Amino acid sequence: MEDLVTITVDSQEMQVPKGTLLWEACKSHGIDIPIFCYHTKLGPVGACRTCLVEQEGIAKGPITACSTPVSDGMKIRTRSPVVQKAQKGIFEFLLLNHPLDCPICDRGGECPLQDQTFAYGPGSSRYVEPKRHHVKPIPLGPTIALDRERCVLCWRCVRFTSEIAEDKSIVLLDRGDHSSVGTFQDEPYISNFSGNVVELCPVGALTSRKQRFHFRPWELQNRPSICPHCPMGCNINVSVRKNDEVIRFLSRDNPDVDNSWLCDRGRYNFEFINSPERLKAPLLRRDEGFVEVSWDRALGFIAARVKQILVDSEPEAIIGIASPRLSNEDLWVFKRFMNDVIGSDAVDHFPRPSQALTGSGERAMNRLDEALMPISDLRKAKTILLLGADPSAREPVLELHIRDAVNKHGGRLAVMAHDEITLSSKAHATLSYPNEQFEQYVRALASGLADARAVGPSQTDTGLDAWAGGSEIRDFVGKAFAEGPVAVIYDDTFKDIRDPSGALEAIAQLIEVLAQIGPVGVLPMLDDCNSMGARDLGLLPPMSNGGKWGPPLTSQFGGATSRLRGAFVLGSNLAEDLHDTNLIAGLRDLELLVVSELILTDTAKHADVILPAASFAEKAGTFTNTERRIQRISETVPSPGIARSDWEMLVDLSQYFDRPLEFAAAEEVWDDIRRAVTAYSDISYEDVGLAGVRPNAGSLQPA
Amino acid sequence: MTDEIENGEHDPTPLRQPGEGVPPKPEGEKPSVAGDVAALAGGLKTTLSEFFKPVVTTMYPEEKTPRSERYRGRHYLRRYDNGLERCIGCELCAAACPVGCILVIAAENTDEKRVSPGERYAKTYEINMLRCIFCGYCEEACPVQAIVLGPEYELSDTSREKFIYTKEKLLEPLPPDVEARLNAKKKEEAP
Ligand code: SF4
Ligand code: SF4
Ligand code: SF4
Ligand code: SF4
Ligand code: FES
Repeated sequence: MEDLVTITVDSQEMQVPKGTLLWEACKSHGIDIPIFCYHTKLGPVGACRTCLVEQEGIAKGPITACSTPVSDGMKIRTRSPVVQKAQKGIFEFLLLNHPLDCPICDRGGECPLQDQTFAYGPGSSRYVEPKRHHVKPIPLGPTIALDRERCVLCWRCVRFTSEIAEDKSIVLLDRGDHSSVGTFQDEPYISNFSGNVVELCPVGALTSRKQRFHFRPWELQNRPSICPHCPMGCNINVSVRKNDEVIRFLSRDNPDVDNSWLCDRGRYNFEFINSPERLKAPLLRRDEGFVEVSWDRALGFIAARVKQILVDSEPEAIIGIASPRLSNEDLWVFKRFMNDVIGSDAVDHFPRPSQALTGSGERAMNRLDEALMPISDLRKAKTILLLGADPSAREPVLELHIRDAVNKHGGRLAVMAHDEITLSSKAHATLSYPNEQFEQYVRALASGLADARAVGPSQTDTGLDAWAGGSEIRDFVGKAFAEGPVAVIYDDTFKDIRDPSGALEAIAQLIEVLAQIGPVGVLPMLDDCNSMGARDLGLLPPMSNGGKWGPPLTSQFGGATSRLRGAFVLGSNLAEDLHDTNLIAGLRDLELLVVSELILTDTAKHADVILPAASFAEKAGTFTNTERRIQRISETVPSPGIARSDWEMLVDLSQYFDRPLEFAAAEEVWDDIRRAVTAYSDISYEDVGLAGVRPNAGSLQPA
Repeated sequence: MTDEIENGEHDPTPLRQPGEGVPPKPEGEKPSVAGDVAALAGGLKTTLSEFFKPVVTTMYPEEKTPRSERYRGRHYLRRYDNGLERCIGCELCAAACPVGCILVIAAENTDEKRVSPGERYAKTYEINMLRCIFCGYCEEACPVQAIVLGPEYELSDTSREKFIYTKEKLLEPLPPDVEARLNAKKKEEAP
């Protein structure tokens, strides 16, 4: 139980944990105090003085609520004449040189300065002289424009870049009334996270150069969803105009996943939803090219071809490959369709590691999965070890979590990377390895560590010393590992690694050693926003030896001996991603290639039938993120034309066969998933809610 | 009540009885030819006296009645003297419009393509005149006096589509007298 203290605010008594900031205490009890510089995620600086309140018995005058921690017996007045006078004065000052060009300001309509002036400020200004003017807008970098006139000098942008993203690029120049936001020596502000300063800025001083003047806030409705651009699964609000156009992504604070930050890749990549190239109706290949047809026509055609193939071939002559960007519901109905309706167990997802896993590789993967930890536990870790993983490039918001863990929670960062990565500069220890030797280095690390801590089966005698990298590794082990929990982040896509099984075994071995020393957790970096879901639902081709991770089905295209006759490809752009002429020839040779896509991709161009799919923003469903948190996406805009979600079209297609699937809503599909997938069985669709939920939540525990 | 009617159990309203509602003839008055002629002459007197009064009929559509300065007819988007559009694409008119018939989509001015002074202009500006109730709120809301309602009220056309007034149509110059009046009323500084 935390220590509680009792304070009185405006004659309302409240009990709050000791050390809470006064503003937070008031906020949690519904008392509004205006703020500009304070931000829950950035902490207090006391720069703007908007939050002044009066404390009984303090003679020196009003105090700042944002930076004063509560203490027992404190008596606070937030609306006394002294406070009101102070607030009016502060607002009058803030507005002295403020241009009040609200009609063309992108913040106008959701602007704290407007709202708070209205609520607390004076109705008019005594300052009648001409206002100061500046050139505007000033580009701070490729993505952000600054309007100096509007800035209220709250330091939020400066603090974000210096404390959170640590690119330290936005600074406050000069002093006093000359103060202005800028970049050091006018270097352009280039960052993966620039969009966050736009959202943080309490006025319209910082705007996104891509989105300036694209909308007025009052035209937009915000609808909750999940960023589809990487497996972090950051929570977003999709702002929609007139119910049919996606205008922006805003962060939606989920402290366990994104802590209210988004990366620019996630934030600004939504144009594909509104693209005029989106497919609006099913397309059927004809001699003269693709022609638009009705759903009945398209599905009837597919069903007839499938039946024709099944007359004289095994069902495995038809394979299915789905993209891990589809929702769990899409993937599951696809699997059921392939397995139960067509009878083929040849289903796979793409992209995925490009090799089959050996038995021991798969065991290693399961072992690592048992140690899966929540992202938020990174702050409990005393050591964070990056094994060939570069969060900044692949899951940028993870970088912010790591920085937070190191800066605020005393974590130590150890980076083992092939090349230098962004986080190398933050690392307490770094180790670089030649690309083809990832596995050896991880194994050496394991034995070096076992040796140093005198645990487990030491393998040092097998020649760590004799080995060229030996002393380096000893050195790294010595510097990298602090006492306490260890979090290991590894790259599970194995793009540059020839033998993923070996690499997985090596990592599992390292985890074994670490587990003997103390708590250890693992976070894999996967391919796409729902790669975890695709794995959990078993969209993998089984092997005859009982293994789940068979060789990727993409390798079946185009072989001379290929007995492949038909394929369903949902959302995977094989032709573009694999650049394989053999594969493309293989796609052309098929008797039936069905592609479901958003636009006419290179793969779709080879199809016999193209089905127009709904994007993530146009359907309800769930994604499973990298820490196995199930999160909900929702229908935010209608899909173009007669496009529909993949699971809906597959349910309709199944009606042409003997064993049709019967699902009417995403929820029903989820219930079916629960019945079949043990990992998800405890979680109902409602449980997922707005914040998502992790099944059998593992944590950073001793293994 | 409704039930009764549906079941036919309800008495229909009785018809008027013959002679009911006809004013009774004044007592003791007898029909006379002289009286009838006098009545006719009285009527003609009114006709003749009206005949020589000045004509008040306006020969619409050849002629039109003058309209009040505050008359609210079709909309115009105004320009500054230097030709730049006044509208800054702020959408306040659209926000004020009680029927939601204005669509504004803004964009950013660049040095190569400058449409209005300042940073922002209206890339799209459309008014659905079929929905407009000519309340003038848009004119009221506009911070730069860009949108005004002019004197024209003859807006008939041959298809619904033609009632979506686009920017091109709205930017047609105002009748000179109205423009002059607006300029005189508000001495705004040029951009
Ligand atoms: S630019 Fe915005 S966030 Fe930065 S100091 Fe000025 S008002 Fe604050
Ligand atoms: S880190 Fe990933 S999920 Fe989060 S905003 Fe960026 S791309 Fe989207
Ligand atoms: S006159 Fe009234 S109804 Fe017509 S566009 Fe203006 S605000 Fe809307
Ligand atoms: S007409 Fe006036 S109110 Fe409407 S968008 Fe243009 S400037 Fe704003
Ligand atoms: S919010 Fe307290 S000083 Fe700025």
